Amino acid sequence: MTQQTITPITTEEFDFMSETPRSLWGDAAREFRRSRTGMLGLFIVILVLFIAITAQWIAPYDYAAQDWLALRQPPSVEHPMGTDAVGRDLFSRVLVSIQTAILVGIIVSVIVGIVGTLVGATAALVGGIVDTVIIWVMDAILNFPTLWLAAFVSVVARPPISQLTRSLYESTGWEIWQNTIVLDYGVVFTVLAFVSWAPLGRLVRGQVLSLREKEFIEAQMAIGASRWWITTRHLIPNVMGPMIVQLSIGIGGVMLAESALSFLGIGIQPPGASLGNLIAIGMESWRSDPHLVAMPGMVLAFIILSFVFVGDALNDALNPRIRER
Amino acid sequence: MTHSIHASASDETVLAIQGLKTQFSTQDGTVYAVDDLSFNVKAGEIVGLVGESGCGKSTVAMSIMRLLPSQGQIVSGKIMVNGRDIAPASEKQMQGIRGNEIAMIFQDALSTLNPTMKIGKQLTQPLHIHKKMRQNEAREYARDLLDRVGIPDAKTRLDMYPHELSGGMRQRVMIAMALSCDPQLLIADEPTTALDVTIQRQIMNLILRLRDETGAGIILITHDVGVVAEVCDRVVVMYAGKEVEGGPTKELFLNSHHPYTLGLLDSSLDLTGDRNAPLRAIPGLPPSLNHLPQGCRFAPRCSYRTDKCNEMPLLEVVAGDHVTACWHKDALKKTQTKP
Repeated sequence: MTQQTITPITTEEFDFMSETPRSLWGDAAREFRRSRTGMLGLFIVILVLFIAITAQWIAPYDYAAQDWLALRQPPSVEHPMGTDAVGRDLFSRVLVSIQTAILVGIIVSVIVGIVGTLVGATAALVGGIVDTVIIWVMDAILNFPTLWLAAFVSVVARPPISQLTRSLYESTGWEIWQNTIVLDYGVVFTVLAFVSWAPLGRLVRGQVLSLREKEFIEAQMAIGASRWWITTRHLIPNVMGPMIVQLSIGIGGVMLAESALSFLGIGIQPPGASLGNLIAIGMESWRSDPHLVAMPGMVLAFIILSFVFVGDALNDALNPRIRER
Repeated sequence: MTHSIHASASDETVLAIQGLKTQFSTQDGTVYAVDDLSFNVKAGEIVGLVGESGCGKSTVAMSIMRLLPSQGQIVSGKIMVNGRDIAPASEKQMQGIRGNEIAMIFQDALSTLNPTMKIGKQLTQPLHIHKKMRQNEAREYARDLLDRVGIPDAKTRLDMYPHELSGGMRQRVMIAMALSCDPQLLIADEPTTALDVTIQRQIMNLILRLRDETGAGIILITHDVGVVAEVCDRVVVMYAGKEVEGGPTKELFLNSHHPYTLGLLDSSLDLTGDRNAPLRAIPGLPPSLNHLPQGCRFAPRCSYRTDKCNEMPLLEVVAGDHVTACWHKDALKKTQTKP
């Protein structure tokens, strides 16, 4: 048996510690890069974002153009995902649908992030009757089947939103407010934000409540920190990690919900394009043309999975105590 | 190394507590956590607050910091800090005093440091709050502070998270944070309880050294009689919210007149004593603070108890500064066995 010599620890080995300045986000980024699934997810997410931004330009065909000489074609070189019943290129339609999915996912997540944090933090910090009422509302939302609630809200929300777009049209004179797709989007944003803020609100409330009881908050008071100081510098930054994780995983869920709504016919309607809509239309002829269902379905699954991967990797990266491993 | 009675203690009184009463309203009635407590802390002096768990020691600390939970209330009494009564001060005024004039060291540094914030940033918080220092200036200052509390390679440590430091290091960081604004009064609530014995010694030495450097008055809350005997200038022995005995450390421990103090001394380890003799414990538990006995609160556990003890004994001078609240203090002096 050979005796192993113990080499003294050199400063170079500690270099990862002396890189200055280290920030929470810098550390998180370094940790994130270590996760293979996270990096794969991030790669797909960036690709999808790129597609979403450039869909109109990179699509080989106009997504609404009909080619009556190429109806219901299986995937081929000219049409990588085949064509539908009226000869529209499915690949182009999927690209544009990705745009819809990303737009909905991001905007709804931003709304949910803001509303959920504000409401959750308010419930925890104000307490008393305010807390009780907010919990009732959140429980009520969480206890209804999401799709049922979404369908209900979309019916209820449509008239006021169409009124809003009409008055916006009257005051600005912009044609865009008359577009039914804008109305569809408005309804979908409202509905999805309404059904998805509650889980985040509950998460934030729970986090703030448990943080507030932590000794380090008391220690902060003992150095003369005000409530505002503690809330902005200690409570909210400590909630950010779990919140970002929840939101990035949630984006996939929002996209899925949007597709489900569109599939049911209460989300984005033709001529607007949505993956759920594509699947719904494809379902009519899935026996003869399975690609019309399979292609958008797989794309949707891939995108959602990649957001979940990213969220999972963020979860590990944003928690300094898990990082020790 | 003996620090028993330190010469640097001046006459300047940084804290004067007079007749402090703190109560908690609970579902089981009012809890008399601190009852008519008075003591002073001079600049450069270490006053030990000793007693079993649940005797109201920490409530005293929280009353001085004015950080009592919502059920708690200072019912009466004065808390004079640098000559000003802070018992009626507003929350806003207290925010200017906490961390600035009075600072606190907690028992468990890991849970009292924000786990997601780097040491450097946490250390500079009081500097931002009280000294309105800018980022760079505060960081420089924080590095000096870490040097002062004996943390090697301070520059690197500033960028570490609390969990990346050892327990002793974390406690040093807590101390550095407490000292950052040069408080005149430092409250150390069981600062070494969560640490290894060897680290305990280092931390106590550090506190002593910093006391000498800064001249701050220190309240040391502990149940470790050994630590008290070694570092404190004066001691207040608390039982069930009341001071039962108080005085200069040496006088009090060598010449105790209260059965509770004697019990505490008996139940601590003594290397010079008979090793085979069993360690004596005080039988029973402290009374629950919402169902206090009539008269002397220690009477139910006291072996010297007589009918007289149904009346509350008052603090009476035994010798010089040394006060005791016991009806049998004169008899006890003779029966005392320990030197």
